[in-house]
Amino acid sequence: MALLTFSKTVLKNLFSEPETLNYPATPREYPERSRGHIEIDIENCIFCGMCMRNCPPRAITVDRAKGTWTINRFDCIQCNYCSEVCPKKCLHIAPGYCEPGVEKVDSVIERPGGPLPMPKPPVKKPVPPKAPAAEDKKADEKAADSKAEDTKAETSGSTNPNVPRNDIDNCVFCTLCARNCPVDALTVNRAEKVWEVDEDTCVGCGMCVSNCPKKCLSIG
Amino acid sequence: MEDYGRNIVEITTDQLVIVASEERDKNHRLSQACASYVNDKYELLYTFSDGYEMTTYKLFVGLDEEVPSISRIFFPAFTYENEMKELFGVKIMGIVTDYNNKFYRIAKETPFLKKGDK
Amino acid sequence: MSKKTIIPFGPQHPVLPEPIHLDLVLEDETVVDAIPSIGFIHRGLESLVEKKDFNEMVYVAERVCGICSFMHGMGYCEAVEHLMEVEIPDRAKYLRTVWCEFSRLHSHLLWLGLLADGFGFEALFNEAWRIREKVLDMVELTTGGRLISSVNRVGGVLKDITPDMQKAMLDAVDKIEKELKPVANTFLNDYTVKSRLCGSGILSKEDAIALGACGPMMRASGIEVDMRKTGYAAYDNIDFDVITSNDCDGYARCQVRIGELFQSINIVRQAFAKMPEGEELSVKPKGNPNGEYLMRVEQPRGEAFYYVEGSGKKILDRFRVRTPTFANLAPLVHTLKGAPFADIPLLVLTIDPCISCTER
Repeated sequence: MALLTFSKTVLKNLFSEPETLNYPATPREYPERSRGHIEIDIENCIFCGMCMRNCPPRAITVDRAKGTWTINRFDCIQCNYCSEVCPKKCLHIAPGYCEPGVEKVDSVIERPGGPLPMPKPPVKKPVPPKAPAAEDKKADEKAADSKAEDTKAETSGSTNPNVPRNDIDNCVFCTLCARNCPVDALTVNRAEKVWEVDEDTCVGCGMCVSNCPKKCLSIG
Repeated sequence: MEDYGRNIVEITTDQLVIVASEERDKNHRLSQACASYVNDKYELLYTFSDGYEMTTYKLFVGLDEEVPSISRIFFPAFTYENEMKELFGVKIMGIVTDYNNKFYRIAKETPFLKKGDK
Repeated sequence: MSKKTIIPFGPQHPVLPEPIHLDLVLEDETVVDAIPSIGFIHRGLESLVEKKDFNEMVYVAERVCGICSFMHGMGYCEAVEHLMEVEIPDRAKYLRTVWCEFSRLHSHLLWLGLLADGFGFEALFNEAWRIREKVLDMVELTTGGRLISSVNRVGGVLKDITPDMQKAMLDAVDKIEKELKPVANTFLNDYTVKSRLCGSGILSKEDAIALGACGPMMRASGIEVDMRKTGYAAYDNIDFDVITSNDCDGYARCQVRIGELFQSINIVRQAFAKMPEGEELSVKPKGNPNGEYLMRVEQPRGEAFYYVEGSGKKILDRFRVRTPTFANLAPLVHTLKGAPFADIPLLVLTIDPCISCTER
């Protein structure tokens, strides 16, 4: 048992500088890696929506038609997952936390020069997304013997995990994937039953997969 | 060290109390117990450890099947069993300290069951 | 026989930043029974696994608790990695070990501070937290977050510790060790501290096993179990002894945790010395998790369990965390029985309660 074991520390503290910062007169310096807020290089953004779909608290909204990228900074948990998944690496995290406020507000970032032009449908007369499936099936069956088999061999040949694969047997060639592809990497020809992906252009965003009505596309 | 994470033994509901008593006699401790709801039935896991050794017993239980409580054998089981009962609605009978679904103060009944299952 | 009174303790109480409620049955000043009730902050994080894919779930897992955030993330990742049979790069293993030990340091220092505050030694409380600040600065420097690190991913880690950072961390560790010594001396030898802690909250070895205690609570009852010995991350290459004490009381728990502080410093040094060079920090897991796995991780508060079950889909079927405080609730109730009423806040503190962990 010892008495007054702490007195030495107390005396030392009495004559030494305070440990705390004189905040806010002396601002806090954040280290380089500090995760404060998300920044976007909007010029490089292709509005694929990967960040929106992968954000754990769903704080990001990407509107392709309006050309806006919106983040609710009060919902953001600074996990940096959006910049991990961003195919164009246009998102990054920077030091400096969000200022406090009385209500949650969205900060909207607009693309300079308006929204990206929507990719033109590759087929001149695209089938509306809710095309009767029965018709497609009949068409499928007719063409199954002649062409489907070669296409199947062609598309399932891709081994790159970042590129979408098509289960051609279930595909109805509705072209929704091609119309939603932000980089125009997909070619779908309904008449000839062709579904192709350009592996060099594809960024692996998964936009096609999430828009596929038959869920025949998969990625990863 | 051996990989105990996969050391999962399947048992039936009748065997649970017997297995628990045996583990108690061997002076093992109850490490954890949990429920999950997969393929329309409950899966209950009871893990017992002795030092670093670990055995997990797994039982499949139907939605309306009753499960005996092991909290008379292992006192700490009451927290786990109350949790299973409240979050998943597993019918556990005879818990020593039964909170009667007031263990967590939540508004929804059996929130971990998917909608329309009960 | 005197009349029994029921006194509520919590959910709001000065010694506890988090809500736990105890119904204490008192006879005069002595507790004869206690019924714990939690559930004020249940968030249902486990059920979020049905909505997020297994990569995204890492970020949810590490937000289960602020203090052991890194270890929750790591425990989840290790469980999924074992399930998918992914071998992570060696350097990533050592990096995880370093961050683990830094989180242990700050968690134990936080606890020491709260304990000092609990028995009214405010200066000691500030001293412990001042040291903790140095640990947090290092965590922020290397991971970008003071508490929530977000550097884990299934298959490895996301950030490297550069040589400059390594030097800063080792310097900080030296400084922490130097500053810790007088604080530890006060905790272990001071008359006032000892008279408060010695003999309070006895949990015998037999009871610790029967009640399923874990972590420092268990080691203070003389049971040599430390999940780091199971060899996750790089712990199988690191030389350390399990710290135990046979006193079984509050003082023993304090002793074990202080011993672990110095041990953590030692492990950080060892890990940096043995860390292999390499550019590769993570591997990309192939396919989707299929099967089930139960992972054990030694958190500052004790062993935590992570159970993952997948059926070959991107989304796991079940993710379950059993946190150390959940297991320590039953031993807590046991130690409260027979204790004087004035000791209750202190006894609740000695299990190092983390209620938001417990309820998830």
